[in-house]
Amino acid sequence: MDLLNRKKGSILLLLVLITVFPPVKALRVGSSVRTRPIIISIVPKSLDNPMLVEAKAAAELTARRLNVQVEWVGPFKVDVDTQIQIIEGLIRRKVDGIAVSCSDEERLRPVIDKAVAAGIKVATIGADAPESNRLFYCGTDNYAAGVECGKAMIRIVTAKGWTDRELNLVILTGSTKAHDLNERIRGFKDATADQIKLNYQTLLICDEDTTTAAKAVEAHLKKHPETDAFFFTGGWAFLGPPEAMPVYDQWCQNGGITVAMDTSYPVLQAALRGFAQALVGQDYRKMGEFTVSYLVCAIKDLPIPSEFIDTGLELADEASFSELLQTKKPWDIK
Amino acid sequence: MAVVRKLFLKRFRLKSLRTKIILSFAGLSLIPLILLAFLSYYTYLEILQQNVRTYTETVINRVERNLQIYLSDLERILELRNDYYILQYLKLSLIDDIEGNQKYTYRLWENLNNIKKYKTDLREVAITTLKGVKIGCYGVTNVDLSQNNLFQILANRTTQDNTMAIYGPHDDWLGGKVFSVGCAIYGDYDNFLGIMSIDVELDLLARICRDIRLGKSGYVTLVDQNGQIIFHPQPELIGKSVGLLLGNPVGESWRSGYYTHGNRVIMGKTLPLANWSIIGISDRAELIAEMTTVARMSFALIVGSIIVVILVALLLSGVLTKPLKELQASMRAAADNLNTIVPVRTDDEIGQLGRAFNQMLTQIRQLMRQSVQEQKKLRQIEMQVLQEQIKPHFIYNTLEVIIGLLETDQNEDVIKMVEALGAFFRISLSQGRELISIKEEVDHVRNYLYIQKLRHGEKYDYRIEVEDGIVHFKTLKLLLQPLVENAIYHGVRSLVSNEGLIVVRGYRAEETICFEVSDNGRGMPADLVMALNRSLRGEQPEDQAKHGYGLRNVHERIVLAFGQEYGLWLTSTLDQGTRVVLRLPMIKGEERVERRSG
Repeated sequence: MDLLNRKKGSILLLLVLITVFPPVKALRVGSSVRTRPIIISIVPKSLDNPMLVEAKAAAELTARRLNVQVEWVGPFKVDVDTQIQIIEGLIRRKVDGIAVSCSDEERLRPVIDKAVAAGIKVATIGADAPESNRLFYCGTDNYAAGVECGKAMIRIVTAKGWTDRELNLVILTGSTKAHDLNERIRGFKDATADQIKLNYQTLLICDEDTTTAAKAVEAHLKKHPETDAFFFTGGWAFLGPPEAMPVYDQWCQNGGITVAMDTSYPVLQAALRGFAQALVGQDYRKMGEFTVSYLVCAIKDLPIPSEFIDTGLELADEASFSELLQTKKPWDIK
Repeated sequence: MAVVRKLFLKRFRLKSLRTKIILSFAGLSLIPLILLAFLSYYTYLEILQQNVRTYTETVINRVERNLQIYLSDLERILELRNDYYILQYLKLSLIDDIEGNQKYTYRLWENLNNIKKYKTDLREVAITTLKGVKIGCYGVTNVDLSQNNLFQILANRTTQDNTMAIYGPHDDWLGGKVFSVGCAIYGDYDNFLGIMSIDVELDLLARICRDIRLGKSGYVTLVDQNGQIIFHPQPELIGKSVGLLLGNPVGESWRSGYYTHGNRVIMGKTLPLANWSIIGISDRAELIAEMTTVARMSFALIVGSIIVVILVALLLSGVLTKPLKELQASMRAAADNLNTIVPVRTDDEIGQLGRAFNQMLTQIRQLMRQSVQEQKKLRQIEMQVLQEQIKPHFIYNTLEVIIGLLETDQNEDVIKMVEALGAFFRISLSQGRELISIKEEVDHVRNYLYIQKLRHGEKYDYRIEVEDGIVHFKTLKLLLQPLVENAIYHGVRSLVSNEGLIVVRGYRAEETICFEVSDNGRGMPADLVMALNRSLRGEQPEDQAKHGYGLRNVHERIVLAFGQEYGLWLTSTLDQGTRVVLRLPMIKGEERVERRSG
């Protein structure tokens, strides 16, 4: 936590410096005099993930504060082709900075490198493409998040006295090609290995779609009621109405264990209803805020503290769900 | 070649009836055929042009209707601009309420993406705020309003003119070719809040127009209000000036109406909603090519008709001229053989001609026979006349007179008498000539009268009065002598007194030569004169005629030689004398005596 606090202090200092003493270079792009404000475009995996709305709001507020323009452009549903097309468009528009949340790091790497080659400052947000030439990644340490989820699963299983049992576990993930989600799975598996006996029944893929996620879980439980536990690499299944998951509801009441990534308002509400026993959350606001701030730094040729801007983790269990919910803003989108 | 030409000329002589029939047939058939071909050609051309125009018009109307329907659909979609969430978003944007707009942002993304699914050609559905924030299917971007033409068009309109505006084609920021439609969004107090816009893939225009063909190479193109091509089957022309297609300067006539430009037939129509022009461009050469086909067909038809007409004409002319040729051959044969008979097979004019020819041949044969008979008769009469000249008692009596003169030593008279008798016989024979001069004929009758006067003494006298102007004309010989003989023997010789007088007169009466032999002898009763005249005219059978044998001989010879209008006319009064008038044609030189009358 100390490390995190030190980082926050550095960032705030940097922001003050940028605001008060804008570097001379910041007024110029290349050799020509800038005639428009700095434009930073954030490209999420999709627009329909409401969890990112917080990040968007934070990015916009930061942009206003820094007197730059921020854009939020992406495919409505996860679609790497459209994401690539959008980044190509941003390159043509010669925006100053781009932050990409990579739904398929392999596919996106060339276009990220192309944008970098075009002189655009490129970062990744939430989901990284570490092999690309991006300047930095701003988001959660997804491996650590997975480890935390694994640890939470061990605690719950131990508390239930099921450590000697081989548990049928199902992983629900958004995509097999997203670096962030794969890292979470890797962390989870590493953390639970040799600690509890897990039988990985199947890997459900929902394309990061809330409805698909809920349906996939329901369908699986109907077919495999013997399932003991779920690990959700994201909170998609809980973003819809809980009434849409009656089988899951019954399964939870029968003692099923679920550990999920995400601590947003609707996910916490679902957890309180008994849909999850432990949550590991990301700080979307920080993602939005830091991404914009450090991209502005990069555009103004100011130093970036690290290639990895960690936005930290938020841990919650049945004891803290209610308290944590008090700190969140309710969503009324759907 | 020369042989062929010769054969052709021989077969198709221009003056031949067959050639004339063929040419007539060909002419009569070809003139209306050519006229028909020309009329058909130009009528077809007119109809074709009208059809091309109608078809082009129909096609353009169809394109217009499709575009109009599509644009109307977009207009209806744009009615959603007054949606609550949109209005809330715009209002909160005005006050920069970022956090308050979060839920509307997500809602709008969802709604706009749902709208985008209405039509496959929609590329972006977006709301643009007064602050240049554009929220659409791909999120939120910032736009430079001063460079956003659609926004400027709509911002400059009034609430009363809140209709759909169209801009484009242009590139959207994702690199696609689009055209944009949009409507202004007004607040509760008619304050302009922003616009709702839809970007439509330009391929839509291609989908509507691409497969439309006007003929083989004709097509439909779309041009915007600035004269820029917004659709053309050749994509590289999109964005270029319409002048490239229609030539510069283009003017404005292409926007509506129908006209030809160079080798192109152009029809334009303006799409009111977008102020675009739909232009149909057809290739005139195709029209001409089609007409060339028609012309070729017409030409082939004419040539074919000519061949058919000529063949038919050959056949018909053969049918028509065959009897004529047979007739011609028969006529040629008839020149050598009058017994030829033309075969008559039909009742038409040619058959009638054949019959007439046959009748003519029959008549000729009859006339020939008649002519032969007449000539025979003429010769007989001449022989008789000659026999009359050498009657034994005439010679005997004359010789008795000569002896008497010798005995009385009247030698001078003997010499004259012998000379007269010699001249008389010489002229009678005339070396076998039929015609002799009037002078010789008059000398002959003078010799005769001299001889007879010596024989008969003072019994009668004679006088010969012949006009000098007629003596060189010709006449049948020995015509006057029988008349004078009659005047002597039946007129003056038996008179008691010695006052008998015979007058021979010759004169010209109009175009004839007349001779009169008159005497003051005994004359004849009227019934006898009538009977003689009737006998001369053939009105009385020859065998019934008891008198006038010599007169009839003379008359028949004249009629046989010169025709019925010539001959003798006899007048006589009992005890007063007789007059015989003889009429002859005026014959000059050595004209052959031919039968003149019918």
